[in-house]
Formats: sequence, C-alpha cells, structure tokens
Amino acid sequence: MERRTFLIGAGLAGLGLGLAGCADPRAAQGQQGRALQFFNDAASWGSGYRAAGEQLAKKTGWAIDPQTIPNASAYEQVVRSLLQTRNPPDLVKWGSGYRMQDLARTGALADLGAAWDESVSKGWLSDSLRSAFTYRDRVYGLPLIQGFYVMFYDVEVFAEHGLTPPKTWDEFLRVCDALKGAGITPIATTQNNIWPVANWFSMLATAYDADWFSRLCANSATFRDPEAHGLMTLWQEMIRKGYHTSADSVGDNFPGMLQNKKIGMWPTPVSWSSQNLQQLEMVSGRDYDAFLLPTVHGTPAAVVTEVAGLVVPQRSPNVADVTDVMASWLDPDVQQPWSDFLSGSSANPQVPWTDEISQRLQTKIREENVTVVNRYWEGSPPPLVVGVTQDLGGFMADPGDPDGVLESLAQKATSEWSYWTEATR
Amino acid sequence: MTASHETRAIATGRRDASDASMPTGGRGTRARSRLLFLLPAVLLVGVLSLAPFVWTVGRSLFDDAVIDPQFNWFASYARLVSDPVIIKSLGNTVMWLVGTVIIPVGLGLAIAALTSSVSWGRWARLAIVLPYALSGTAVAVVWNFMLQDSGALNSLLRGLGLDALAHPWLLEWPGNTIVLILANSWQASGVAVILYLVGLQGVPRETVEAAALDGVDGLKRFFHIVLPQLRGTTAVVMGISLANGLKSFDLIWVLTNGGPGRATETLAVSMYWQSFVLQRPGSGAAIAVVLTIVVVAISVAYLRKQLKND
Repeated sequence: MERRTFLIGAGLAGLGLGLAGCADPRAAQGQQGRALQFFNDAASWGSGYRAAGEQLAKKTGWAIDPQTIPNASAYEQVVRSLLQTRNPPDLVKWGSGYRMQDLARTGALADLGAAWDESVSKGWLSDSLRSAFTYRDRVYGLPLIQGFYVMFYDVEVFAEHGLTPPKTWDEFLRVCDALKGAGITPIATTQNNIWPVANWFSMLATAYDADWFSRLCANSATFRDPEAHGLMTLWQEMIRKGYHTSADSVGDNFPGMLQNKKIGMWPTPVSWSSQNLQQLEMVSGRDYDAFLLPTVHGTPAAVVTEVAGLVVPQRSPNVADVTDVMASWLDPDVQQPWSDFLSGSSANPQVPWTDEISQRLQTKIREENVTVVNRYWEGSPPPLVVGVTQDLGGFMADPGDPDGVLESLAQKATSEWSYWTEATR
Repeated sequence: MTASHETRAIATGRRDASDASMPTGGRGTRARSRLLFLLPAVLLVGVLSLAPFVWTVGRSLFDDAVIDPQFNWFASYARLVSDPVIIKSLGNTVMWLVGTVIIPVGLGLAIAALTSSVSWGRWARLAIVLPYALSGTAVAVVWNFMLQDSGALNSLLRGLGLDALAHPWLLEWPGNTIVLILANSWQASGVAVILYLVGLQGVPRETVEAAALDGVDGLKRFFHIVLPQLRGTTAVVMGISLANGLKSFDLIWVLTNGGPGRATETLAVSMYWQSFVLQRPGSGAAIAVVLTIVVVAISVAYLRKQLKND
C-alpha cells in the first residue's frame, strides 16, 4: 500500500470514528426494547435499577439502562458537564433540596409537575416531600430513595459488654466509654471524600439542637450562635476522647469493620445501609440492629433524613417520553422490586420496607411524630455545603481550634448565602 | 545539506553559508511548502491550546456566575491573593516544585551511579523503575493503604514497638504534603534512573580512566569527571520533574482530595475545586492563568539558561 493511500485511509477512518462518537447512541435504538439511559453514582445498585426497569417497561415500554460513575465528586462534574451538551442522559440520580435547585436554576431540568401530581393523587407519594423538589413553584424531581440516619450497632458486641441501645445522651456517652474501654472505636466517621462529613455533622447538630440546625439550613441562624459553639465543643470533646475513627478512614470499610468488631456503631441511613451489612451475611436483628441517636438536651426525638431524587435533563432527546414515563416510577409494582433490593427506602408509603429493623424505625419515626430534618448536604447551597464540610473535615483531623473553624464557616455562610440569594433572585 | 544537518539547522535556527547556494527561483516554492507542512501543527496547537488559553484569560475577567457572568476586571485575581486557601495552595505548589526536582534528580542519579556497574544492578533498577509503569491513581490507592492512620506503615511501627513514631500521616500539614511528595517521588524516580543510566553510558571511558591514572578516585572522580558530563541528562530530568511537580494532581486527588480542610491542595487541585466542585468558573480560570504563567515562566527561564549553556 502506498503511503498516500494509507494516510488517506487512516484519515477517513479517524473522521468516521469521530462522527460516530458524536452521534447519539440512542438513535440506533428501535421502538422495541427502549431503555432510559440512567446516570447514577451507586455501582452496587445496578441490579436493583434493572429490576425496577423491567417492571417499568411493562407499564410504559421503557426499561432502565443504568450507567454508573462511582466517585461522588467525579459524578457531579460529569453530570453538570453533560447537562450543558445537546446529548445528556435521559435520567439522572441527584440530591434533593438545594442540590436540585442548583441545577433547576440553570434551566437544565425538565418540569415533572404532572408526574408528581399524578403520583400524589394515586396515593403513591406524600405531598409533604414536594418542597424537597420544588424550585420557583415547579417540581423538578421525583424521589428515588428516602432514608433516615440512625446508629447501626453490632448486637454481639453490645451483648458482650452488657450494653443496650441508649435512650438518653448520657446513656449514649456511657456506651461510647464502655466500647472505648473494651478497645473498640465507638463511632465510625471519616472526612475522606468530603461528603461523609455532612452526615455526622447533620446527626450531631440535630441531636444537639434540631431547631437551631433547621434554622441554620434556612439561613436564619449562624455559625456564630452559642449553639454552634456548644456543638463544636461537644464534637471536639468526643474526638479527643477517642470516640471516632481516624479522620482518614475509608468509609467503604465501615460495614466490614462493624462485622469484625473494630467499630461499635456506624451512623448511616436505614434502610439502604442494611443492604451493605446483609451482603456480608450479617442477619438483621441477630448480628446488627439500629437506634435513633438520642438528643443531647433531652428535647423530643429528631432524625436526619436523606432524600435522593430522579431528575430529567431538559435537553434529553427523549424528554417528552421520559417525563411521561416518570408518572409510573412510583407505581407500587415498579417500587416493590426496587425497595426489596435496598431492603426498603421506597418513598411510596404503600410499599413496605422489607428489612425488619428499618421498618421498625420507619414506623417509630412516623407514629411517634419524630422531628424530621433534612441532611446538611442537601440543606444549604452546594458551594457553601462543600466549603463547610471541607472546614469541618479539617476540624475532624485537627480539632484544636473550634472557634477558628466556626469563624471561617460564618464568613463562608455570609458570602455564599448572599451569592445564592443574588443568583436565584 | 544532509538530513541531520537540516534537522540541526531547524532546531537551532542557524543557517549555514552553503544554504545560500540554493537557486533563488525555488526559494518561494520551498517557503510555501514549509508553511504548508507547518500549518497542521500550528492549527492543532492554536485550536487545542492557544484558543482555550485565550478563552480562559477572558473568562477570568468575568465573575463566578454560571449563567450570564458579568465583566469584573481583575476581581477574581484580587480574591485569589486574599484567599488563605489559595496562598497555602501556592506554598504547597512551591514545596512540590522543590521536592519533585530535588528528590527524583538526586535519587535517580544516586541509584543509576551506584547500580550501573554491579552485577545485581539490573534487579535493583527493575524494582525502582517498575513503579513508573503504574498509573498515578493506582499508586495513590496503594499509598493510601500504607499511610492511613490504621494503615500498613503505622501497623508496622506499632508492631516494632515504635508507637511514638506512628502518626496520622495524611492529616497534619505540612507533613501530609511532604509524604505526598515522597509517594510521588517513589514513582517518578524510575524515569530519572533510566535517563541517568543512558547518560552514564555516554560518558567516555577514557575520561574516567585518565582521571583514575591521575589518582582521582571515588566521590571526587564522580563529582569532577562524571557529573559535569551528565549536564545534558540532568537538564532533561529536571525539565521533566519541573513539569510533573507543577501539574501534580492525580496522586493528591485520590489520596486526600486536597484535604483535610484543603490543606494539601496545589494550584492544579485548587483550580479543579474552584471550577468543577465549587462551580466558580471565574476564580477557577484565574487560578488556571496564574498556574500557566508560573509554568511558562519557570520553563522559559530554565530552557533559556540551558540553551545558553549549550
């Protein structure tokens, strides 16, 4: 082959590949066997998505084709970038609250108001969740999962040391002391990957003063309040007493550490975290159990909730079909396999949670009117949340100067809230 | 003019008198065809490198709004110099720069010189060169396993009864930045070893033998006879190390995410945080411009010095 022929051939092949790469892969799909291209950040949940998709396909003709980017911060950047293109995915897993508002304000999300109203009218969805997905009176998401942050514990460890689930803060501290004394790190927390910081911060702040924490998330309380000082002093004391795992621990190891009795308690949501323990062949009730973290000052019980949602990119080539399909997402037939996969977590009140412990706690929260507070990760403008969790991550590593950290947080809050107010005016 | 002569003439920009004998009629055609050959490279560099740079400079003069940004002159730059996180990040970048130049150059030279003439040298070199073949992310995962508070290094120290030396390596500044640099050097020294070995083979035996005959021995011979002849190799190794130090990102990102509390960020990581995590395109662009200026200034200064010496 002559050099020129080779170069022309190679050039044309490169051009062809380039054009093929730019084409929408979904264009080749026929009407039969259509699947929603669904971006998400939980690699181990793939089979659950597909199981729900099979039921969804029976109702709507659209299955679910999950595509995972398992690193939370990489996922966020990929989704934000894709939303700007002409070819974003059909469906995206995304946080509720301010995280969703942050996307909605750019006009990147499709209105899901019709699907929401239809789901509420059929009793598949509580309208109390509406505010978590609303921006300027329009609904832009549907709940994918709802969970409550509780303290998981190793039943055998508690039994061995004569411990019972604490009902007051003093009892909780006694449990921590007993575990520490037995050479077991009481509480599994980490600042690794940044976002887990928000989980424990939300739980501790809610236990310390749920009302102040709610006001902090509504920008009507500040990090300069006495409550903030009290909270940080308490946290500092807990870190210094060695109640927490090292700040550089790997969060993915916590289920295994609970099983190996290296940690005593793991603050994480029911019900989907129970799936991690069941994968280790730990049995609900026999090997692990969970309790609500008691409040510090004996105020009525409060719990942190996390609601993650499904949003539809406005520029998706199938946007009209997808918004219709979403009206069937909360159908009990679709939700049951999804909920079974996660041992619960469906936001449809008609779909029972299968994990016994999760079900018990869910019932307790509903029936005993426990105050439910949103997690901090979704509870403030995203740049502020990232800044605050970074600083608190630094505090977890070096808890020497709580007041210095609070001053830094207060300054961030002032500038970020004013930026957010301006940007969403 | 021979091919190598031509290459050298292009590389140095010098033209010999023999070029003047070229017929004048062909000069225009030749110049045009040269331009034609240059065009693809110029276009590629222009479109993929210079245009984005110009766009980034432009973006840095606007504010941080994602939608409808406003022209803001140098406000993003002013914020950078008053942001303690960025100042610390700049300090870390300087530490990386110094560390990634000194350690790979020093270690690479020492290992190459010590192992070049011993029989087991190839095995020692293999062990040192091997990490260079690993990806930065894989290296970071392995080092994370080593450096965590509950990791292999602390377990070893505690196992040996050296509890006082066990330490949360990744959590305290500036120690965490230093261990990150060491982890990076573990990987980066391999290429320096290879380059120095090639350089050592190019040192004429006669010069070393003459020095030996004159009674110059050991370290003195190495520093006065061998090392000066490795100047070219050192220039290449330092050039590569400078670039690696300034663009260090993957290892930091996977090991610490720039944390805790943004303490281990370098400018490259800060640029990523501002642009993609905090969604501050104006500030992110300003850091990118500062980083580019630093990289270009250091590279140009260094290359000018080297070219002048040559």
